[in-house]
Amino acid sequence: MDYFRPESLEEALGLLAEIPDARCLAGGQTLVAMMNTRIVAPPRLVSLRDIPGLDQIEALPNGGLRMGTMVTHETLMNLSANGAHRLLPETARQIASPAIRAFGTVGGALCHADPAADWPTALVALDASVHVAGIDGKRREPLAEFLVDALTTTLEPGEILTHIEIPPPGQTSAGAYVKFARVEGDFATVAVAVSLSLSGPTCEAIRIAVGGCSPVPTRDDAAETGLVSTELSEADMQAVGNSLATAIQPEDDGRASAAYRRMVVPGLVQRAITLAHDRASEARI
Amino acid sequence: MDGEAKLRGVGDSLPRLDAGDKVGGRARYTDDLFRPGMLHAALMGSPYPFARIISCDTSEALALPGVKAVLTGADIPANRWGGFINDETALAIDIVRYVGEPIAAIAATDLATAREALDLIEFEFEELDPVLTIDAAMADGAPLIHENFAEYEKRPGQGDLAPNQVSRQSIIEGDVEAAWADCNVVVENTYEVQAQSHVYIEPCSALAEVDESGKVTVWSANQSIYKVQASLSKALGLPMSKVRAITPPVGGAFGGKSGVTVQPITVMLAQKTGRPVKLTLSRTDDMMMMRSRHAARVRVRTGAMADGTLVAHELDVIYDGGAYAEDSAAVLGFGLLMARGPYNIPHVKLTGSAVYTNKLRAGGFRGFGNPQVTFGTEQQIDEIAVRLKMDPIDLRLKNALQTGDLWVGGQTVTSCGFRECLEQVRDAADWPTRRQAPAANGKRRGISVAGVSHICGLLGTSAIVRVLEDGTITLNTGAVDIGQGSDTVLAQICASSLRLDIGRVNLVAPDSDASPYNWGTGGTRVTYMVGRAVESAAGAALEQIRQHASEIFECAPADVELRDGGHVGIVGVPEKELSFAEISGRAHYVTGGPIIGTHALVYDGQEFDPKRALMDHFPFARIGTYVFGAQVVEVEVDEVTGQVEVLNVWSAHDVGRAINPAAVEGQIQGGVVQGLGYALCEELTWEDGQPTNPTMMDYKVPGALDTPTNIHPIIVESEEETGPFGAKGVGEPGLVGVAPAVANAVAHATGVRLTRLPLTPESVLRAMTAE
Repeated sequence: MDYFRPESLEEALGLLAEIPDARCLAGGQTLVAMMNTRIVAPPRLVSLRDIPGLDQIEALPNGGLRMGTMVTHETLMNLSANGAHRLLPETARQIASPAIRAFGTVGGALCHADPAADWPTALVALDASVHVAGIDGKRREPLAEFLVDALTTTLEPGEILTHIEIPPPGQTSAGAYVKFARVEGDFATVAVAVSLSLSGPTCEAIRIAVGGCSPVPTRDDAAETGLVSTELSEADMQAVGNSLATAIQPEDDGRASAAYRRMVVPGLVQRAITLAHDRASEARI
Repeated sequence: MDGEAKLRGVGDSLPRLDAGDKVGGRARYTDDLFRPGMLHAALMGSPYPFARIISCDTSEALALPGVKAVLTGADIPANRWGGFINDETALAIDIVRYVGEPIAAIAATDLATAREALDLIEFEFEELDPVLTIDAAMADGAPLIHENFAEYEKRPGQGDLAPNQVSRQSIIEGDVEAAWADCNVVVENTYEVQAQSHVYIEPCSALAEVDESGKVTVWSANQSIYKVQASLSKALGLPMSKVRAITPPVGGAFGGKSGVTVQPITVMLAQKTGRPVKLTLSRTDDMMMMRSRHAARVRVRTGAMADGTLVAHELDVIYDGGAYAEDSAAVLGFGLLMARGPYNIPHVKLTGSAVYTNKLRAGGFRGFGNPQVTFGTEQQIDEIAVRLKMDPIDLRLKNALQTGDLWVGGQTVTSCGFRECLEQVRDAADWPTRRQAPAANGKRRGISVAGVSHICGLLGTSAIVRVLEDGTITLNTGAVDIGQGSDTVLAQICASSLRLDIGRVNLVAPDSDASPYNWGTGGTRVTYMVGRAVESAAGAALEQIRQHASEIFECAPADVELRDGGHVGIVGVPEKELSFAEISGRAHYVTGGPIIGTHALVYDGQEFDPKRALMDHFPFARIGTYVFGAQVVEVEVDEVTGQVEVLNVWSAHDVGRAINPAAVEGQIQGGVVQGLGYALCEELTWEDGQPTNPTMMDYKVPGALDTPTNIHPIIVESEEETGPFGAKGVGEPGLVGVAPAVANAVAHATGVRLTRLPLTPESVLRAMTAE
């Protein structure tokens, strides 16, 4: 196996193009563990560590955020953010352990696309999109489309996810990330991410993503639309929780049974919406 | 001794002797060791739960550059060893009996090569029908897991065993059948407990070297150099005098290293190659190849009178021993001895068996059969309290053993702080208030209790106290400190026996070429048993010091008094004083010879009373000196997820006397945390005989953030007359009552009693929603 630390994106793309199955190395928290257990044996590792700018978070003029693929969980945990963007530090805090948060990256997590990982769920709720660079050019697509299946994205061999972009938070907005796991720092058994904004007492916009229960984060457009212009009553929340519990495609695994996930989703959805709603209401006052 | 600092010894919360090295990263564990020319080894595990080995081709592996030896079952001596039944070999011979069972070993110049070569070994198997559950093992016509069982060497007195049965035993007192009629309430339940992985921080590891004469030296993580020596002697067909076992610092064991682990195969590789060989398991190999706690099914029927007087208790336990017998007979016997609990119950019938299955073999694990039965018994008592609308602590107090009462089997309990433990946890927990405390929104809240008992006296041990020329001391016991702190405690006992500061006591690391016999670290016994040997060996040295002093002072030995800081003098004559250095110098160079105090003993407590109890096939000649505890757990149960959050644990333990209170508290806290893992999340699982979670990613132990900060250890001192400075033990009890206390608290919170461990959120939620 050979190992490179290119200092530009172009150089990195060139190195990836040279050998089939060459892999990008971001934080290495999953890839290196898989190599150690001999699940994968890439012939080449291309570290993204020395490419300038990929570990930066940039505030966009419209109030959105653009963060490099190498931004670590720890950096996001300490991010000072507004409104619904506070979902970012709240999510980061609940990932793994300090050592992993110091090395693990948001881009690495999205590219690995583990259905139980935290960033896909949280960033789908924030309506994030991803920037992908390849030898033939660049593209941008919504994260929800980038994530195709469990451990599968639209990323082609030789491509690099370079940035993640998050639209501006609404005027009176808040988020909440409610994670349920067997122990602290474990992958989610069920996670619910909510991003919403209020207009007066009523819901202006809301996105709810359920993680850990399907190959990719689950949303229910119709149920979300049904919440807009409501005051998010308990009955409203129950309805959306129940519809999400139907929409998920859970499987039995070592963390819990599929049936259990369907049992807890409505309550956790209600908990997450309530939390986000309370936060946004406080912001309004 | 005016102006001198206080002597540090018994009763002081001294830091561990090894704390600096461990915290500073200087402690050198077995895997840190290196010998010139050393090879690295790796093991291949069986892919099938039960299969016959048809053929094996190792030629490709041997051809890989760097590979120095490949061993399979066909290449090793067929010497079998074991605890009660000699059924184990270093590698599977002809038949594999669990997934992960070592079937081949490779030594190579580096670890990566050794592991790579594993993939080049070609085995051909004929799969057999695996026996995966207790019921399948006991079914009529079940396949025999050990077809040559009848030919194995066995310890006598185990009776006739059914197919796939490893042991069957019973303890019967009174007349249970007749007693049910006297009961106003009878509770009957079946409890199931899971296999728990030891998850010691240091995976099993050994380094072996063979000299020109064929003498074998093995550095390894273990709980007893003498057990390693004995098992290696058996496995290798060598006299014990040709086997030297040394123990570097051990990174936890919890019972999992009480027998041999990877030592036999490591030695065989060293013998084969003529070079030193080191073998350290990966975490997954360790979880798949080594041992677990016994899963078990416990059927219990318990009856009481309307006033709460316990009358009858009938318990039948079946332990799943996995593929090899190991210590299963001892685990079963000890489980039965603990199955009545610390209560006066006149009629008891305690029966049980252990069976083979095609799964990882089960072995000793903190509690040693006790947590399994206590999960049943302590929930039974709680349920009786519910039915009788009695306070669960009051009910226990009403039936609690006291000093002078009889243990099941008829021994008199020599010191019993059980009542005090119950009273102390009740007070510390502010019990009446918390029993009524309201739950937060979306939660249910509960608090309850479990009683705990255990032993600390069994088997043999010895100690040597040598007085060096300058009057300082070298203490040698052969006891292995597996992280629990016994080195420090034994040094404290030695120091205080001689009225010296602990800084003047040097402790010898365990080495079978140098250290006197000690059965092992287990059974909560080191402080009590080895401590007794140390105290008496120090006393023997002191007698010699006294004799020298009386000769120098020209007075009667009885008039010689021991004074602080390594001095003796004449009673009533303060100015007449000699130092240990002066006396030891005389002994070394003038008369008498160097002062060496020794003491050896084997557990000498009361025997069981055959007139009182019928005990069939009980595996221990003598065992006893009982310790007690009471554990209160307060929980909050989430109504959405069923997750049990532990808010507080109060854990009171009768330790006789705390030699080192901080170390005692540490043992209690560690036991509670491991008990919470057992209660709430830890479970080894299999699917069709394949382990499904043998990694730290899939098998979850509680981490720092999952552990309540409010674990309140409470020390109760009952002063055991036979113990060193009154001490008993505390190694295991902190774990034993946690699971039933959690289940009792969940029952208090939700009204639902859960009878299967672990109490996962899913099992709790299902029970709550079915209520």
